[in-house]
Amino acid sequence: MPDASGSVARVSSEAFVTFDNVGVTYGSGAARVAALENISLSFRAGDFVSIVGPSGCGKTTLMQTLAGFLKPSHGRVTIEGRTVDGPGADRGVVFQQPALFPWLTVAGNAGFGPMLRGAAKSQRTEVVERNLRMAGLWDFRDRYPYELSGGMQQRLAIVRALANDPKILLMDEPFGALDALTREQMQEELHAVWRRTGMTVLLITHSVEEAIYLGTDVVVMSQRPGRIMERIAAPFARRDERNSRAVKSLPEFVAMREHVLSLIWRSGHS
Amino acid sequence: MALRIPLRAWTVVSALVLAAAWLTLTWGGFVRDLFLPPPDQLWDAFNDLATDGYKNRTLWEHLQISLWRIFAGFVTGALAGTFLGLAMGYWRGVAALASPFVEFLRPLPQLAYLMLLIIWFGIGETSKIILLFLAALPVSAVAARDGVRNVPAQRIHAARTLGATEWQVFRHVVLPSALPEIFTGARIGVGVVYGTLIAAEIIAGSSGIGWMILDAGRFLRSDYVFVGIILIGLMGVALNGALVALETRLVHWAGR
Repeated sequence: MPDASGSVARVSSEAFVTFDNVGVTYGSGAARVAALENISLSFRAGDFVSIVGPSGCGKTTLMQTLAGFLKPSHGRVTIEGRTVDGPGADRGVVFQQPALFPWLTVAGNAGFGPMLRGAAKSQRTEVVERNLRMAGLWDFRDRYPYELSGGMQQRLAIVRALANDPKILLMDEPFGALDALTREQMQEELHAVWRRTGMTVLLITHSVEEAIYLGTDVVVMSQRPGRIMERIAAPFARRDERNSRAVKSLPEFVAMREHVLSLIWRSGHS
Repeated sequence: MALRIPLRAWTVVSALVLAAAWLTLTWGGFVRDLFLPPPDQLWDAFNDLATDGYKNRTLWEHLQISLWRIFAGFVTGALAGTFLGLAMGYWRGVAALASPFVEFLRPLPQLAYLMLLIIWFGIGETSKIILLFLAALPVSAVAARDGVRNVPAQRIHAARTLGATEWQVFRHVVLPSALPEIFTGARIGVGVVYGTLIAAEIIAGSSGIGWMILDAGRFLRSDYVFVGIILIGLMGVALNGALVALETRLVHWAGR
């Protein structure tokens, strides 16, 4: 095979998700609001991409175009070379509010995806048991979501998304509604899942610390209309050291955090 | 420190006060039996009705007939209304088509069109059951419609990203999400149907507990009237209780 075509093939297979000059506008005429402008971004399978930016910068809008809830006004979003055209089971989504199904037990929620696919009952219970045990929710399998704490509900939402073996996990401020202690614990758990599965993750957050601590790549967005200001490679997610307090007080960590904060600060007040 | 009296005790107190007032007024000779029969007379009247019946039918037959009408009218009306409401909530087109009729029918007093139904369908069972059907339908339709419209968008999004097809979203997310409101509609519907039934039996009929009350009233048998009212009241409480029991079992998550 000629080298040229081989290298093209390799490049395209490396870009797992691409945003190709994506723009989103709401409304029309005088009421037209540009939420996103000229977003071009790509990442590879296995990346953990954190997106940070001031409130109203279109982070959620960006995620929604990849999830397929929102069609971009121009440009396109692709996953494995195919243009995103509506939601699908290959992209698991976790929202800030867990959006669990309150009429189903914990086990019912965890097995919802496989149930929709018509997976055999034995296979379903196996997946559910494995995932619930991993998340420490097995003892609660017959409870209902309203009987769980906020942190456990969010853990269940993640378990529910993972049961489908999605190619990518999209998370929109998943820990935003949790208390500080639970939040740190959930960060560790998410990191462990990512390390164990090698799954691709897109995390929307407004905690700069969380973005840098968990992400292999940190994308900083500007105030509306949302643009990408900077993309930074962060080394901390791949470190074996998982003492979060120690990592978060490393000089490199602090320097990166200050850099990102100053970017956001400037964009929000210019 | 405030004295803590259990709420249940207050319920008992109000019942006792009412009973004491009744006994004082009647046995004390303050009101005539015609206006308010004393307890022993009511008990006798109840025994009379229970053993001899009222005008060719036993008391239980009258009750049974009324219950059957409620059941037939309510079940058909609530089912049809729920299906219509689900469709209205799901498809804007159906809502646009059906809304004028539903919104017009809903606040309309049932007695306003009862006469029309009698003209069209006669004074038999058909007109009564259609009346109850029409009373239950719009209440259930509006409840189901709002239930569908109030499904949190994120819940639907979550199902879509878990791979749900359009039908699966409806079957596994929209329908259960709307269930609490469908039940609320059913309970309001039972109330409406109940009120309408008595009116229907009063205007056209010769059977049913509502008719018995009216007929006894014509002959100034206030003891029979009271027995009828108490039975209707108890029946209503039982009906509502049954629905609430079903509701807490089926939609235990509502409001949590």
